[in-house]
Amino acid sequence: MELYRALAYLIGPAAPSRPELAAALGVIPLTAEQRTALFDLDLPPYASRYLSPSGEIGGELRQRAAGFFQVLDLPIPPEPDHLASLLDLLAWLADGEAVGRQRQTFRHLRETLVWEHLLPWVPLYLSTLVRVVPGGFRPWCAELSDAMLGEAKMSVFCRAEVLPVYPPVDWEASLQAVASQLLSPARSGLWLTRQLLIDLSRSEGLPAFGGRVSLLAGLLRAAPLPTLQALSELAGEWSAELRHLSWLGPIAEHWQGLADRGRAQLLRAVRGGPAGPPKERREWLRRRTAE
Amino acid sequence: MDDRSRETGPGGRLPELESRLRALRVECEARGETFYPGPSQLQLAAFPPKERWDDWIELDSKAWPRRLERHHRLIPTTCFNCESACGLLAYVDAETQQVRKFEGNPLSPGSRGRNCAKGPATLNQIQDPDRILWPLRRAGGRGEGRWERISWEEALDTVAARIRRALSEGRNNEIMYHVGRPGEDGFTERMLAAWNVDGHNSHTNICSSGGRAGFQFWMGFDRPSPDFARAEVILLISAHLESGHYFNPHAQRIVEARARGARLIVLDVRLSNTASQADYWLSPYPGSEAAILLAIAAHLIAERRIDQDFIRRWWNWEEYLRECRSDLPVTFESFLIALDQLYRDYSFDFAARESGISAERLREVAEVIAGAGHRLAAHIWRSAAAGNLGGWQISRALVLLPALLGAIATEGGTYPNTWNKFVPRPIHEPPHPTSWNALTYPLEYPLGQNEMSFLLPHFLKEGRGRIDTYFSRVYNPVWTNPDGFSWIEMLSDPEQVGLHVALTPTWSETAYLADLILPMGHASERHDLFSYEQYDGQWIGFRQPVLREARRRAGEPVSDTRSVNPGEVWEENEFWIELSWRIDPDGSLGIRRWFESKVQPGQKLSVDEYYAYIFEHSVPGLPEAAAAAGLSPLDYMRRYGSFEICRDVGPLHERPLDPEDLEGAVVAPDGRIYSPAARRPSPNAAPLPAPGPDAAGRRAVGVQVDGRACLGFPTPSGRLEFYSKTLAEWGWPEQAVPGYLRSHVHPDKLKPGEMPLIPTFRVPVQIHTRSANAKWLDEIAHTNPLWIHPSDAARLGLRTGSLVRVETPIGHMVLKAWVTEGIRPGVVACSHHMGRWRPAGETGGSNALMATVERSQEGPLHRLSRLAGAGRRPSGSGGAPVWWSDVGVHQNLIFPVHPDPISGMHCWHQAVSVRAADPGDRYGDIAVDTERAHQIYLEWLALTRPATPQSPGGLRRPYWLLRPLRPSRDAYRVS
Ligand code: SF4
Repeated sequence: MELYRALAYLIGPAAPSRPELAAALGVIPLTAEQRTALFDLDLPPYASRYLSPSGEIGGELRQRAAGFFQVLDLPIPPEPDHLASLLDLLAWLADGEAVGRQRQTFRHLRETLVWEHLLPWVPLYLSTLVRVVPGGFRPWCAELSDAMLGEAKMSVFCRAEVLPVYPPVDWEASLQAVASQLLSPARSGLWLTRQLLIDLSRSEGLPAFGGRVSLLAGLLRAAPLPTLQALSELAGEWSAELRHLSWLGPIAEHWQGLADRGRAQLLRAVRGGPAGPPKERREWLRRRTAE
Repeated sequence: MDDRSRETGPGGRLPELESRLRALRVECEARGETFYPGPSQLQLAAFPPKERWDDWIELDSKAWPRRLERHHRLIPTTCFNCESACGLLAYVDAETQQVRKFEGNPLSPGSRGRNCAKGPATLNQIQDPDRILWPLRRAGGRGEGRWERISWEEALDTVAARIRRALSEGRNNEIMYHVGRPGEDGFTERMLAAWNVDGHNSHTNICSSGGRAGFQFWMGFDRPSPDFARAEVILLISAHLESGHYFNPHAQRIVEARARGARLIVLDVRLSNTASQADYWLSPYPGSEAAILLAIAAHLIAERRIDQDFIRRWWNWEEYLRECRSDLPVTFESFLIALDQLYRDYSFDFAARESGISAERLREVAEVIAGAGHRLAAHIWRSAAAGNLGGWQISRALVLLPALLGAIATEGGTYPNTWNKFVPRPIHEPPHPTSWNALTYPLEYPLGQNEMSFLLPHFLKEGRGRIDTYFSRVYNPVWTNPDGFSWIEMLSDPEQVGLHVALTPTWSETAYLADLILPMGHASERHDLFSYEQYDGQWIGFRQPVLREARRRAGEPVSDTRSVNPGEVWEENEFWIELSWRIDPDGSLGIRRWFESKVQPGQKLSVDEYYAYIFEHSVPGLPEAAAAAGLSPLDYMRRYGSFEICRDVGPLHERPLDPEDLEGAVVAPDGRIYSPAARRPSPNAAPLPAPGPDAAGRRAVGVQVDGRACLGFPTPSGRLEFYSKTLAEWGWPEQAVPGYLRSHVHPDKLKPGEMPLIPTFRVPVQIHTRSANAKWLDEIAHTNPLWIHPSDAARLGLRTGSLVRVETPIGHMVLKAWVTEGIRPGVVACSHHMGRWRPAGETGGSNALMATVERSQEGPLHRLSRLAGAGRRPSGSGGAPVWWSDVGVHQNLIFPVHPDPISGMHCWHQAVSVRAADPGDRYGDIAVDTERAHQIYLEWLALTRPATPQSPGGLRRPYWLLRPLRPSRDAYRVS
């Protein structure tokens, strides 16, 4: 299926150099600077980034993706959980399904890939990406989003039980660790872009330097209550937005549950800590944010 | 985003985008461009895009953790290890101008960027610390192991003077060129023709003649080109996924078909890698394969699950009825009755008794084959066809199945090889030699598929002739052929072989006995041009000295490949041109003109002009593709290494005849069409059989089928020859239709206590002499134990690792047992490719990957005993030092010759006695009696039915059958 390869090519590791391909998709390719800002700093397109408890790229989630290639006896690409690799694999399976007697096997594999490795994060990723991506690249988001919808509609089963469930944010951890956990969607339920944190920092009159963890840690340290307030509002909006992804069924419910859990946690934090009388809560917050 | 609003169904936006992208990709690839350029995770492959081959950057893995960038020129060439000729890309370091590694060439249509382990291991071969770098001359007696370096000048003059004298004295037949791994399609054949020497000798009769003969008697072509990728059922009597003919290109297409759902049936006594992947693995008693195939055929015929229309149109059934069933009217209906009667006795029960496989299982497989329809791709190579007396009938019985189903030259079916092959017409075409060399094609084997090469020592022993100058060329008969001690006796005797010139990249058991050793290049150090049938298409591949091309691109053109190869290693094309000039310096022998420039008459032909001519004049579409890329055709091939001329060739036998051929043509009663029109030169010079003319001398050009004049097949009848009149007329009427011959290892023929030994299989990472010095490959596989079933092992008191003595009628060897259920009970097996040795005291090379042996002889009794194993190679030659010492045992030494009386194939399987080693036996011991070996040769010779002056046309051999180097028609006469 060429569409998936073409979509993958436009976010692949190297800058695309075939303009007619982008034109056919109605997309204006990203400049090198935009690619870096989006795919290196803001929203790296890796499954492990959004599905792992640490929110870091690599690790077990990457191994799971590698395993999919391995069982099919296919060469394992250097970054198997990169969206481009997964889309290319999807194209290969779709091609296999289109010919031959093993259609059923390919269909089954395709659905497994879609439900286990793509739908758990890609539609949410696209919903986030579309807010920060330059206008010329929005058709790419729309086309992939359409395609994901199409895959979901074609499926005869869905396997949401494979979605990972991790402990919520540990508010007793260090400030840095709390910031990291808030930035892990799998723990906090929040999908926070760097751009959003920059905007928050600016609105609080704070310097907007560094990566997402240092930006968020800076915000929690310098302006804890407005930050927690803003994040809880974001969690609420996100939870509402997830209703539009109801076609994802249990996946959407899972993320909505996470967002609601995250929002509740944030609100508790705004009110003065996870538990105990108000004074102690304020002390907790002071201690946490003074580190 | 609310995605529910978007259209994804038919007619929606996404299908439209998909078709737009597909069209764009087709358009882009038609321009020869990569649709997704860039180092990429896409396409599940990471080939460097060809646009960047001039400056490809990779990090130096050895510099890790530093990120050291290395710039490379990627230059295509072709693997020289097996016959598949997969494309390679040499990564030439821009700084050091040395090859850093080899990977697959994604533009090679056959291999499509993939290689087996042997392709990248070319690096070991070119960096082999033991390789031969200079011309060497024997300093002591033959085989004494003392050498002196000489110049190429001296070597060339010595050889040229000797050949010139032989030619001037009319001793043309005393010059012999004996080839192992072929190089360029037709180059040396033309060279010998230019010398007027019928001296081509190949290894084919110890390799694939049995398989080939079965195909040739059916369809004229001597090999199939199965369309594996599109097949529904694949039937293999060979180990195609590990060592088949064309290993990697075929294996990858079989794997594709399997992924699509095609079913794989493998007949192999052994659980090969291929058998392990099969849906149906049948492990028959060796030699019973034809009984199985005929039982399946009988089932298809009885149930009429055959393509009757195809059979009616394309088989020579009328000829069969006329010649063999005069009791029946010549109608198709009576042919079907006759066919039924002919194969009725080949029941599943009969096949079960012969093969040891249950009748139910055979019936199940027959049903699968019956369901294949036109998509049955079948192949047999070496294996059973090379193992058994009458192995060629196994091949013939195999073709019977696709021929019954009409799966010949169909999508997913079995094509004749030559339709998928393109040999560009060369710059010069010398005429056929005028003499006949009875040392290669003796009267006893008029139907021998190829030269009777492995009988040479016996022929010379009998005084049938002598050889003045013998070239062993990338060939090691002492080690590869059966009965190697007879070869040692022959090559040690200057009365039998006057001058032995070994053209070889590496030391070998044969090179040790040479008078001159001339170092020849590996895959990246020589020019060759070739084409192989690997799918339904035609392509050419180019092998080139990659450092020569790197220099040229750097603006330093090179005109002598020696100047870029290590030491004074040369390439053969330049060598043969130079040698031919020295044989005939003034042109008086009529040789020189075939090696002269066309651009500068009277000057020596350069390889650059030679290939430039071919690429400009003889490869349809190449000049245009090159022009579109802004290159000359030669530069295009230098840059990309291959070119696909066409694909989807289709059923050429159905192609209407050209109007020119029909002018004045006559149709014989059997439908054969003969034309008075002269043959028009085709750019494709692939060798074809040559069915004879009619009485008026008109050419056989086609055949009339249902009133249509079609091209047909290049057989005497123009059709598929179910009935071979050739076999009938040349003394074998009882073998004229596909049948079952009981092998020489059939249970009825074994003495008490004997078992068949299967010695024919390869391991996937080894390839005869050529891979022996590739350390990476040896590290993976370096020994060849005797496969033996647990029940036999228990009976003989053997365990894995036990020393075991294996005896043939001429001698014995001592090796280790490997107890495995991967072999059927009652049969043992041992891989070839192993047991390389060098005599103690040999000074040539250090050969750390060979065993050092002591060789002794008392009259006809020869002994070999192992003094030391491998294991002295230092690090720096491909990783850590050699850690193993066992290199296996040279089994072929103890095999007597078994020439099949019809195909001439050496029937490799052996009837052996197996027992625990005697107390004094040591691992690697070998003892052979060459007198006894000669007696066995005579016993097999007695099975032949020789050509005589009374043979058809008074010929030595049917003229229509293929010969690699065909002498003139007059030379065929027995007188
Ligand atoms: S040895 Fe392997 S890589 Fe080389 S030509 Fe043969 S199959 Fe291809």
